[in-house]
Amino acid sequence: MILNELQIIERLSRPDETRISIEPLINLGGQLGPSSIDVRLGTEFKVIRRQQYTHLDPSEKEPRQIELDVKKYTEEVLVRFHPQYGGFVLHPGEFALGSTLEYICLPNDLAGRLEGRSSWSRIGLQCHVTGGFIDPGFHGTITFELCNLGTVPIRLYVGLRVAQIAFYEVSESLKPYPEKMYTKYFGQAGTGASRFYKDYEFDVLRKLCRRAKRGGAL
Amino acid sequence: MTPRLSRVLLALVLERFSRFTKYLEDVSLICSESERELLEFFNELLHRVDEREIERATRILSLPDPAEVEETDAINSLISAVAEMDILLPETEVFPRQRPSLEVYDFLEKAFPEILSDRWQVTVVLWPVYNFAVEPDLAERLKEKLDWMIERPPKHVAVYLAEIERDNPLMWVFLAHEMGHALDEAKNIGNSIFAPEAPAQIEEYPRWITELVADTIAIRVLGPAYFYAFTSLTLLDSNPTRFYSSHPALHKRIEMLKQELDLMGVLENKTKEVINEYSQLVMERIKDEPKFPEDTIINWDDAFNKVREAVNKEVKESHKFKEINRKESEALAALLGRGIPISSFLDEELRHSINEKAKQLLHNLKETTGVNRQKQLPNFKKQLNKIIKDFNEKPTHPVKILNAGWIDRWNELLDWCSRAISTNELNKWWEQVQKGDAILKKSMEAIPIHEELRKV
Repeated sequence: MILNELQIIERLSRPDETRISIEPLINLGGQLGPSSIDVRLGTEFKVIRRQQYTHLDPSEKEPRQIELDVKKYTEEVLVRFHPQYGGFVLHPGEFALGSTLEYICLPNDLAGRLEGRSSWSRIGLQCHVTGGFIDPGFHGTITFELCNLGTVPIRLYVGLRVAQIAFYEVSESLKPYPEKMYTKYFGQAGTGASRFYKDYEFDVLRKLCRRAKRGGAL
Repeated sequence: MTPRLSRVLLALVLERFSRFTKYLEDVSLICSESERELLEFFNELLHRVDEREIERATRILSLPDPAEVEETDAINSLISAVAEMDILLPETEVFPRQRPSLEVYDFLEKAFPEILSDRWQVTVVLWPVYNFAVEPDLAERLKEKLDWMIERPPKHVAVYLAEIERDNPLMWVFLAHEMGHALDEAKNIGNSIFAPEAPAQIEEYPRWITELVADTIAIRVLGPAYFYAFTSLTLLDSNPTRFYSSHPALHKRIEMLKQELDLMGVLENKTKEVINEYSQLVMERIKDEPKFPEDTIINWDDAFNKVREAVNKEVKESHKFKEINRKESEALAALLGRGIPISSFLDEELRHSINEKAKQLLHNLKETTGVNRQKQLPNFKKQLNKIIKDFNEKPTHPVKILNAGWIDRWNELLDWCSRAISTNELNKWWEQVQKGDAILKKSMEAIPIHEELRKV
């Protein structure tokens, strides 16, 4: 069941760990929809410097090295809340990571789904690339996978409501996000770059690669 | 040395080292290929010191009887390693500088709103030395040399922040001390009080007085947060009672800050408790250290009083730290303890009453059916709008955030110290600290946005 506006408020105001925390909740009246709540664009964006990149292959290097590589090839753009700072311009076809201004904590019996807002979608702004599901128990900012599918550049300002989150009631999870075997984004407080290289499958692939290099049987 | 002090010191040392390691890692991302070998060299040096310290830490942690800590003297050698790191740091000057976090400007603008709106421009400069400093007025200095400069340029203040504390808002409080120096110079606070009565035998006295002025301004603006930061720094000093030509001895400054907090007299119980805990740790740390004769020649109480009076004239009431009420203070620290940012706040009692109303309305909606429901709908909508209107979170303030942040860090530290720590936990402490930094920065980031959007 998707929560409606009153159920969302009831969850936001609960005193215990079943509360939905959205911090800051700047203007509830202006953010609350019939069955969702709007979220705003944060101050930090990340874009890849493609000029120095050939490919990403986590099976070739250790996770720590890949993490440093990703950091090195990622340009961080910080934007302040004021038109004088110019905002962040997303050109047609360009991909960037951003994050919600809000830090969101979901209880163990609610999942969330990030969706774009129609007004922004109509000018070509995509706010996630299939990674819009939020696990029960998640804490942190939600990463926007921003893409401009339109034909004109879009200037994005901090604090704009570019997306919304709907909440789904689930039977209480016994293994919520923080207790998953491999959590990568719990507690993130900014725009988190992908940590796909931490997937355990790459451990296996790395071992196989090393063995192959030594001339062992695959 | 009590087990508590030894554990606290160990945690602080580990934090400092981890920050240095992270600094080198961050620099490696922006330095050019030609600087890479030098960076490797520093990494290796740090690694060697680090390995040695981990070995010492392991030794301390494995002691069955905490009393042995003193005998082994291992903690003191850990602290001396921090001094070694302080020697390494200035040498990293050759690396490119990073940019300061934007939140540091939000903090300064909020902590010194009237000053910064009065033609003052502040720039935060990151620098390699573990020190904080100020260039009180660049334009004024240039005007002396370049007489063609415009008559009344804006005041350009540069405050220097130790680069390894770039991401640690808890240490940004020292910038308030530096802003205090700039204010002192602009308003001539220190000069106006001490000159005729300066004890002739101590030529450093006038300089010391200006430091006390800056300390007083900082604590007036930031409250206990400045005290916590100052004591933490003192704890890690390899010789906290030594004679400085530029500053009064650290323990004397702490004495004055403590007096100042007592005089402010607005502190809640939890805050008082933490202040006392920090004071006790410092007292224990310095009890066996040699004291210098200057400590007794100067009538410090008289000096403190004169500084206080002079600052009172210049620091407006509106600038002064105001203790947040107990409920808010506890709620903010509790949120931080749960890892939730605190850029805004809703009173818990109000939240509870909203919850009750929302539950009641949900119940009524469920129970009311058919024609009656149609009839009641306008009333239900009215109730919903009222609930939404009541749900009005207010932005907090960076000073409140830093004060809550220090209390939270203290709670974490005690928790860390009271557990049976194994060396495997050393990294966990650093992860916890890093997360704390990120949550504090996140809290500050949203305040200006919240304030502006509320006006709509």
